[in-house]
Amino acid sequence: MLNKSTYNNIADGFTYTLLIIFSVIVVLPFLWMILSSLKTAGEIWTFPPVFLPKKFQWSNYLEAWKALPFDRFLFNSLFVTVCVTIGQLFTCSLGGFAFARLRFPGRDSLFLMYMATMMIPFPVLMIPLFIIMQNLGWIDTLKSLIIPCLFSAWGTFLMRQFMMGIPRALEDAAKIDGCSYWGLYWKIIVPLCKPVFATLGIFTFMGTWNQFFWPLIMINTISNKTLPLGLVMFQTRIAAETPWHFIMAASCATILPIIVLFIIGQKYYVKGIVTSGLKG
Amino acid sequence: MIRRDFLKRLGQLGVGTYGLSLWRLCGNGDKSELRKPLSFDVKYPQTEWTMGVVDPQISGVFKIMSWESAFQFKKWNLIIDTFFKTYYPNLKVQLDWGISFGNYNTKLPVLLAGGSPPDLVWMHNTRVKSFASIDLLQKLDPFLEFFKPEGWPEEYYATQVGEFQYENSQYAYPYDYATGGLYINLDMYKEIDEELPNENWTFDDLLRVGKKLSKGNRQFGLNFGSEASAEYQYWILRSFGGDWFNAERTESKFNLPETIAAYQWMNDLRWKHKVAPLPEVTQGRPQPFVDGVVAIDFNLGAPAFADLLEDKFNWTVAPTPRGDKGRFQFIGGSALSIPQKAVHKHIAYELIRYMLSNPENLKIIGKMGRMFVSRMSMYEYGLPQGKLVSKLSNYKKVFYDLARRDGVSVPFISKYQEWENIYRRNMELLYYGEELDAKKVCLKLHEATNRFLADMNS
Repeated sequence: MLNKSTYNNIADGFTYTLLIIFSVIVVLPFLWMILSSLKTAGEIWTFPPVFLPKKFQWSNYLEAWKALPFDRFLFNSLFVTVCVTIGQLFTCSLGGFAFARLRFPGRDSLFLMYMATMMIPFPVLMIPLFIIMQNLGWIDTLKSLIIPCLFSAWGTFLMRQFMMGIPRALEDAAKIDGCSYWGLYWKIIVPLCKPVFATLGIFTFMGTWNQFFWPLIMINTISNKTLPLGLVMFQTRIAAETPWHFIMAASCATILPIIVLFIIGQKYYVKGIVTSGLKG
Repeated sequence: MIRRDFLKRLGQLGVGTYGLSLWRLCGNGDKSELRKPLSFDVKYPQTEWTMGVVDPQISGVFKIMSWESAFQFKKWNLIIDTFFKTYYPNLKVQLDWGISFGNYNTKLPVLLAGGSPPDLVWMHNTRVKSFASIDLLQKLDPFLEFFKPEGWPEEYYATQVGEFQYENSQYAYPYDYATGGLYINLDMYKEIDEELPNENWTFDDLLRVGKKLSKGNRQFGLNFGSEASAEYQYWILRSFGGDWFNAERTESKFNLPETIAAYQWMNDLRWKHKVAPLPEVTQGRPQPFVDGVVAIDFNLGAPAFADLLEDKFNWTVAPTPRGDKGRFQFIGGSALSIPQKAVHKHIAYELIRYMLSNPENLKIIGKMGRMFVSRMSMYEYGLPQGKLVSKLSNYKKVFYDLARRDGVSVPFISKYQEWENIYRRNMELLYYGEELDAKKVCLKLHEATNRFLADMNS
């Protein structure tokens, strides 16, 4: 008969083994990307695949960086992502506040209509949106990547649901003390919504960082391209001619900011998954 | 007015204003503008490469969009830069390149439909008729007539010139010439006592050798890709005497015994003779020849393999076989087009002419590219260079001489992409072995194609 401590040790060992196996499965693609970034073009296509390159090609990083202005792409991506994230947090929290805490005629219908916009697939909106951007003279500007993305029905929904859970007594107390609607939003609701701000912030950051299709349509010049657009600039029509080793090298270098962000915001990210039941 | 009514009116006003503004934004396509004849008033001094129609001091932005990658666009950039510095120094050039082929074909229609097209665009033979048929591209005929390029069209491959025409008008100016041949792993080949394939070999000869070269699941004698890649299989159908459509593109030819026989031959390579790799072998292995599991591989005439193969094994190229109805060779290629709503059409044409008929520029394009350039006399600049010269001694014969003699254009239709989906859905049944009888699949595809063509032509 196993005693409790031995039983616990076996159970822990089993758990850790499982976790290590799953971690390897998750880490393997990243490791593969890093190792591929150090291979030659020929080694990339070798079958069965070779895990380690014969000789580490550190020059791939330099070549990739020399071929395209990745520093510019990185700046553009960061600028757009930060602006969109801050903007969405502001607009969605205001929207969520209005739908959750204010009483006005047609509020629920308006909310339903706003939610219904999530059902419209992006390709349907693409050409009208493009024409609007064109008439505003925003084609090939970072504005076109920021301003249309400042509003999100999903983000508003998330905020509303969270704000509805805040006791109304707090609001009433603030009103009695003479708090305005803005004061109510800024001094009472926002401080209580930190977890949902973190959740929406992380999801918006990741979504905007990886956004490809809309920037593809809007951006024409190399100096305005974002990272996802920059990475595909190596791709050729004939797959065999695509320098995947350079693409991998550029991907490794440019993934760093998002990894740093994840490390900093890991706590909120996990909380976000718990809060929303969603995963990025 | 009570508050509810006021809010309702306000809402209606908002929706109305939004609708009207959208209507105004979307309804700015004046068709009569498109049909206005091009003007060719010569007001400025002409040069060898400019018509004298546009003021050389013109300012503004000239937009170019290309699918060429970071490394491939260098050659074009060099030439474009020289052209504008010399002839239109005040015009700012906006280059949108490095868009992968698939994404390019998503972005271009949006720009064309949205009314904000570039002045010059890269165009593929699979797409040109689709764009031309809905009035999105400028006919090049008036330009070609007014300011004829040297050697046009007699010095250009007829197949290429024809591929970029729609209803007898030229919609794009070809810039390369791609064809297919057999790539042979010489290390595998020397183990069998056979001569290398030549242009008189039949499909049966190739199958016989393919059987000798196959070694179970470790080594496959032949690889002709998948049936799903329609355009690369077309030459095989023609060699057997089959076809996709009739000449008028109004009827399917998938019920012809010759068409069925061609697909049956291709399918039997995998499932009956077991000389071609099965889908599970090629999945995740897009270059089985490079991986050394295929002895004879059909591929395009670009020495793209050179970098990948390094010195893994000895290899060379050979001609594709002939069928009962003759010898046909795959031909494909790309071109440059001017969108219908482009702002600087005249300059775009001048640039096309400068890039693609000027021998000095064609030398650069040929040397830095991977294909032959579209002007026949410049073929030598598309030949393999460096250490490939000795390896590929018959490259010119396979990819130039025979291609010129036996090249066959793929019959692209104006709704090719849509039809290709139907083709793919059916042919994948053969490719994945869900159906082994090509006749059943071809007859089903015959019905579907006839319905599609009737709808397209109605």
